[in-house]
Amino acid sequence: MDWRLIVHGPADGASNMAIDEALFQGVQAGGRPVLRLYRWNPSCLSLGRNQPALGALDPRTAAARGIDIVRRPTGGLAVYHDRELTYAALLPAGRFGRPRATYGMLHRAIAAGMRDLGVTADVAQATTQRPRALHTAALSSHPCFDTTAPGEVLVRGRKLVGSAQRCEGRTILQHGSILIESGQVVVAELLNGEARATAAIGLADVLGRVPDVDALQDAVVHGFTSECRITFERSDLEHHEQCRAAMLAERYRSDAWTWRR
Amino acid sequence: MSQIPTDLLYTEEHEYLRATGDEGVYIVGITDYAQGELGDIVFVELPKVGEKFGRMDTFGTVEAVKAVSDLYSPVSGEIVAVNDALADNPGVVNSDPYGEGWMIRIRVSNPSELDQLLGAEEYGRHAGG
Repeated sequence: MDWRLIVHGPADGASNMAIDEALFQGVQAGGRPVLRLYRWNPSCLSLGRNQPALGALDPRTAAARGIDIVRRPTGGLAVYHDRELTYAALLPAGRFGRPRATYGMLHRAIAAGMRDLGVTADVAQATTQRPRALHTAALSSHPCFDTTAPGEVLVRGRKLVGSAQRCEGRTILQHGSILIESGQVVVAELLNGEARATAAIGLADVLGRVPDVDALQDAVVHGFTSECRITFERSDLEHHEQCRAAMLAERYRSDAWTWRR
Repeated sequence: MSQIPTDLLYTEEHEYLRATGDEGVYIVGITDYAQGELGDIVFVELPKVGEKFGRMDTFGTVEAVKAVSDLYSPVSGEIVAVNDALADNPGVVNSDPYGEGWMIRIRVSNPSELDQLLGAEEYGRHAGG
C-alpha cells in the first residue's frame, strides 16, 4: 500500500499541529499511512504536551521577538522552529515494531536521506536497556536539543533531528525537526533568559551552505523509500481533513491548551 | 523477563486490574512489560475522582522518553481514587508498577466486562508475542 506524501509550505504553529492531528485521526480511522513535510511561519517555540510552561515562559518576551508559541500533542521538550524541515509520520503501531522501534526506524530513514546530501549522519545506538530520562526532574523547562537518546540522528556527535511521539490506540504520530540552521539557543533564551550553547547542529553548519529545500525534501523521501521499503503517492489534504484541521487549530490556539501547565 | 502476577487480570493494551477489599472496586495500572517498553516515565496524566469511563475509554496518558501514550480503562466505571503521588514521582510506575505505581481505583459498573480481560498466562503470551 502506498503511503500518502503531503508536502506543505510554511504555516503557523497551531495550523501545523492541527493538520498533524487531523491526519492522525484519519489513520486511526483506517486511512493510509502519511508522511508530511512542512515548515513554519512565523517562527515558533513548540512545547511538549506535558512540559511545564507556567512561570517558565513569558509569552510577551516571545511575542516581542515575533515568535509564536504552540503546545504539541506529542511528548518531549521545547523546540524552536525556524530554519528547518519538519516531518510528520502517521502510521499504524506495529508497522515497524513497537513505538520505540518505530522511533529508531524513522530516524534511520532520515539519516539515510541525509547521506544523499553528503552528510554523514548516524543513529545513536539503541540498547536493550530501558531508555533513560536525561533530566533528574520528571519534566523540565529545557530544550529538546540539549539531550540525546538512543535512536536519535547525530552528526559529529551532535543532534540534527529532534522528534517526539504520540501513541493512541494502534496509531503513532511521530514528528520532528530536521535542522537547516540550528537556532536552538532561542529556547534557552526564552525559557531561562540567557543564551546557552546547545548540542544541536544544522545542515548549514555541516555543509557550509544552506541546502536547497526541494533537495532536502527529496532526500528525506528517498531515505524513507530506501530504508523503510515504502512507496509514496503524492497527495494533499482532502476537504474533510481541511475542515477537521481548521476546528482543531482553535484548540491549539487556545490559552487553555497552551498554558495547561 | 517481565513480571506477570497470577492474581491479576490484564488487557491487550498492557493495563492490569487488581481486586481490592472493597467489593466492586479495582486498582488499575500498567504492567511491568509496559513500563519496560516505555522507558523512564516522566509524567502521568490522571482523571479526577468522580469521572466515569466506558470500557476502553482513554482515562489518562503516560509520557516516557519523547512519547505520550494513552491509558485505557479496562472496565466501565467511576473513578473513586487516583494516585496523586505520581505527580511528584512518576518514576515509581517504573520501579513498582504493581504496588506504589498504581494509577486509579475504579468502581466497576458492569461486572460482566471482567470476563473479557486476560488471565496471567494469556497476557504472558500476548506480551511475549
